[in-house]
Amino acid sequence: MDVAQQLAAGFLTVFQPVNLIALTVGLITGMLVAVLPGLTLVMGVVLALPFTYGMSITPSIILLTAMYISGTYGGAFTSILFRIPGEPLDVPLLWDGYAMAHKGQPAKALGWTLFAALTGGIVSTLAAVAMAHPFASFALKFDSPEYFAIILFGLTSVVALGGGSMINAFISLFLGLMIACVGVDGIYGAERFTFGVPMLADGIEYLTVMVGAYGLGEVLVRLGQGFQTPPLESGSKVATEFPSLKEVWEIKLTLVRSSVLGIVLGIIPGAGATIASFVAYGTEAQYCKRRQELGSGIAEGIVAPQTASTATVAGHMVPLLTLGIPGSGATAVILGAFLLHGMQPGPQVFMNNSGLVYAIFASLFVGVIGMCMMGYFAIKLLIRVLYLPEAVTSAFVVLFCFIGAFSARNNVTDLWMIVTFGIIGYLFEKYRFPIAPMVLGCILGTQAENSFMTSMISYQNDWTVFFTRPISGTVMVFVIIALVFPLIRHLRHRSKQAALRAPAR
Amino acid sequence: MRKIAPYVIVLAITGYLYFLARQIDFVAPGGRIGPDFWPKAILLLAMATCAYEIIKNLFFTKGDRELAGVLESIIEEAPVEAAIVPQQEKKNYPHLLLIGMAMTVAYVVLIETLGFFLCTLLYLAGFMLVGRYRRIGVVLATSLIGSLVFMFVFMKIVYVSLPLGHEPFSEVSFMLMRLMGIK
Repeated sequence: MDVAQQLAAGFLTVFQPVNLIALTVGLITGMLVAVLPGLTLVMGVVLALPFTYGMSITPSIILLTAMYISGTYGGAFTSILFRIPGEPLDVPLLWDGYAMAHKGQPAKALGWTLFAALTGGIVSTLAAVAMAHPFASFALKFDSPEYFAIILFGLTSVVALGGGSMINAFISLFLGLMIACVGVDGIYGAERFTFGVPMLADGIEYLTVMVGAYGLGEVLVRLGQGFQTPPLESGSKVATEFPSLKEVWEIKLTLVRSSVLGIVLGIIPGAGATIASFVAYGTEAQYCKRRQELGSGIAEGIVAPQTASTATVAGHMVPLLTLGIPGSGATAVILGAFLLHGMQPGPQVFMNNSGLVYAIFASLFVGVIGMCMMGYFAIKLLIRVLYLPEAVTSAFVVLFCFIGAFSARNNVTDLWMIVTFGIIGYLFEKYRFPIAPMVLGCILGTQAENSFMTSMISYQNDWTVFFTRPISGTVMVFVIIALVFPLIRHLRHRSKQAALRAPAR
Repeated sequence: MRKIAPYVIVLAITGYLYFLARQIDFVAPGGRIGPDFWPKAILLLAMATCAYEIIKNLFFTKGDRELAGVLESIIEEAPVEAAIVPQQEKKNYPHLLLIGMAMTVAYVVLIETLGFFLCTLLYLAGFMLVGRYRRIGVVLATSLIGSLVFMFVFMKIVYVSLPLGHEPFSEVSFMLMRLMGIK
């Protein structure tokens, strides 16, 4: 079957009632999560995971993917109307989106956002469908050194591309990799760091790490701040006004640039929607015709970040579905859903279970259109959740965390794990250690170790194998670039600062 | 000193884990690397990173900008001032945090004794009050409805076997299960 036929079959799967319900629930929940104060997109996807235990794999993945994509759009409303960025990725929308709303054109600003999300979503999904098969075919040639190199690239790019201190990100990553070491190792059957606790012999469920650190940890941080949700401005009208064709034509280059950026940054593990959103805005500041007006409420400043952030979702699905490598917190949860259903995504699954893969792609198309329709027709209703008291929503978030952990193994000990990782998550936030590297380290740690050990056993402890094989060698060069690039930026910034200070002396 | 405290703690923990890693029991045939190699390598890297940060903070460039990830530099170099983001003055409530943490620990301790329903009801109501929400009617109603809905959804629909509690509290769980038609 060719790609078009498989995609058509995927659409038929998506339109089955159970999958359509999962998609709709996912879209609504994703949007609510993005709008609600105190809830983040990743946290929302994590908390939805336990509800998928009883489902079959297709609706589970469709639900989580729908949440993911609509979560990149829902926060735009609060940014534009109330100056509250639901997610870090919505911050660039404040600059021109809120400015346009402030000039008396909130409906126009929302219209541009809707158009950008639609374009970014559709274009990137088309690109993902086109790229996925060649990616998977190429990945079939991979042996353990290639897998190790790619996982290493994923882990280092999460560290290199994140915000905050790189040293803290490295420490977070190492702790995550150590958590993955707990339990009986897969090659020798030796017990490691179990401290005589039988439950630890099975290892630490990374679900508890994610739920604890992202869910409970974040609630504790906000409780420590007394749940101070910023007051809402009254009088904002929630309506959407579409841009005209002429207006769209005028920003065609912005659309192309931002879509391409979103797709490319989506494929690179670690470079998620937030980076894409900022980079797209920065690119417009350099290349768009009206760059002098950027920040005053122009369409390019809204379209660029929204198009790019929505485009990353389909981009992220490519390495996840073809290599089994999650590039972001949300895709890590989706990988978790695959594993809970006994399936490890990768080239084999792509080739042997292509029905599921193309159903996921089809659900992205339907999801993007559905989320835009929801944004147009139901946002007045959805935005009412902003008035829910944060203490009430947070209490329920904690409850979701507990039930999520408990329902995985029906074991109260997992609740202790949640509390432990909740407190670790709180301490990470307090001392500015990023959580994402720890979570990804925890998820990919076992795979990284297995591919490293298998390579060492197969190639008689010759570590140069990672550099001498063409594919793994090339990826290792990317690993080095990912590590050196922030250092170069840092040194350049220092010399720039020194040059600025010099005339003052 | 406060700045280096997290790194000292991580260094101490990783040092102890390294000591444990040296005692991992295994038999590796013919010169192969064993199951201790990977954790040892990770722990050495973690210790070296912590040591670097501690030494840097103690002896070198105190006011210097730290080596940041790419996103950090992108935000710093953003063409528009990020100051447009409303910056509320953030107050801290350490006592609320401590009470919240204690309640969360108590929830885990008591859930097997009180059962899911009673424990959740108390926890939800308590957490909302600790979170400075004072509309008692709403607190009680949402806690009660929330606990019942969660019990129904997870026991009747998702088939999760939630803790029922010990006598006499288990009677409440059994009564609710009968009312909800949960077998």
